[in-house]
Amino acid sequence: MKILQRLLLALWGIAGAFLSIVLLTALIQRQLPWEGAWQQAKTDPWLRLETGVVAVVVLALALLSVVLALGVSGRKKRPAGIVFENKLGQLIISFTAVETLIQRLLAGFPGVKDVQPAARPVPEGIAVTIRFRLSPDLRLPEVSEEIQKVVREKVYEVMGITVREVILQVEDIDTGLRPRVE
Amino acid sequence: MEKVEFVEHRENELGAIRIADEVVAIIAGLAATEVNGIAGMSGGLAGGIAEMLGRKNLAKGVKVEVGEREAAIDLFCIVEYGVRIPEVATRVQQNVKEAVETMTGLRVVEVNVHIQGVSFPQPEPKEEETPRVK
Repeated sequence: MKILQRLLLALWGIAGAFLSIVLLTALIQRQLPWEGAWQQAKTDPWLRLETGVVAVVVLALALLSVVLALGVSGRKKRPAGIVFENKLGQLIISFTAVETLIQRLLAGFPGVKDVQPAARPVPEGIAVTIRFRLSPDLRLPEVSEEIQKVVREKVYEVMGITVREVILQVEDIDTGLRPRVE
Repeated sequence: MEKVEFVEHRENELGAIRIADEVVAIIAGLAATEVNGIAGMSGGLAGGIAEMLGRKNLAKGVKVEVGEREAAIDLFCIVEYGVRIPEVATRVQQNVKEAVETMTGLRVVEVNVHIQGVSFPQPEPKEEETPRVK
């Protein structure tokens, strides 16, 4: 989440908390706190303006929060897949298919667990980010080189797609300990 | 009841010949699954629900656009692990084009193959070893 989004949510949270406190206080005191202020606002134009500005800001925060929650931001969507064209039509290989293949390729890799690949398009090919857990008895520089080589070669061999970049992210070290309960 | 879309694409002195879109889709689907290396068709949520309800959908994973003389076909396939996808896809395109053109007389202008997933062979369940002594 971006800083602006965090700030927005925090402001919205503070506004919500403030409103709740005011309502709770009103319930306890059996009197709405803004009754007096409302009478004053009728005669004081500056107070009306201030209240209006606060209301508009809270409304804007609320609407932005709804937009964020529903994910209607301007984030670019990943295309469905890589497209090849020939005289008979198109061949579209979905990124999901590429990811499944990589997952399968690395399933047999000793010491590499919980592989989570993510493919994205780059000019003239794809880039792949692979997150995984690693066994502590393996040497990462050697293993990573081998993984990168296998992914590049096999994806090209099976799918005809050039892998321009293979980014490896070791999420954790596999302790090999199993939970006592499931 | 589902409305069947027909496109009249030929007329002779005896009358008109109409081929439903569904027919073209079924021919294309069967021709695609015939090709070695194709594990199946990917029909999406609606297709999956229909199959769960016991309805065999031969046009699963096939979208067709049929005109008076021409047809364009989109196929959503799942390939078997280990095959070379570009080669399999080309064979699918050729097979589907040939089957639809031969059976319907329509000219297939486009066969787009969408590879939606890779299927892996299920490991065979290990047979229980019979003890040497009882």
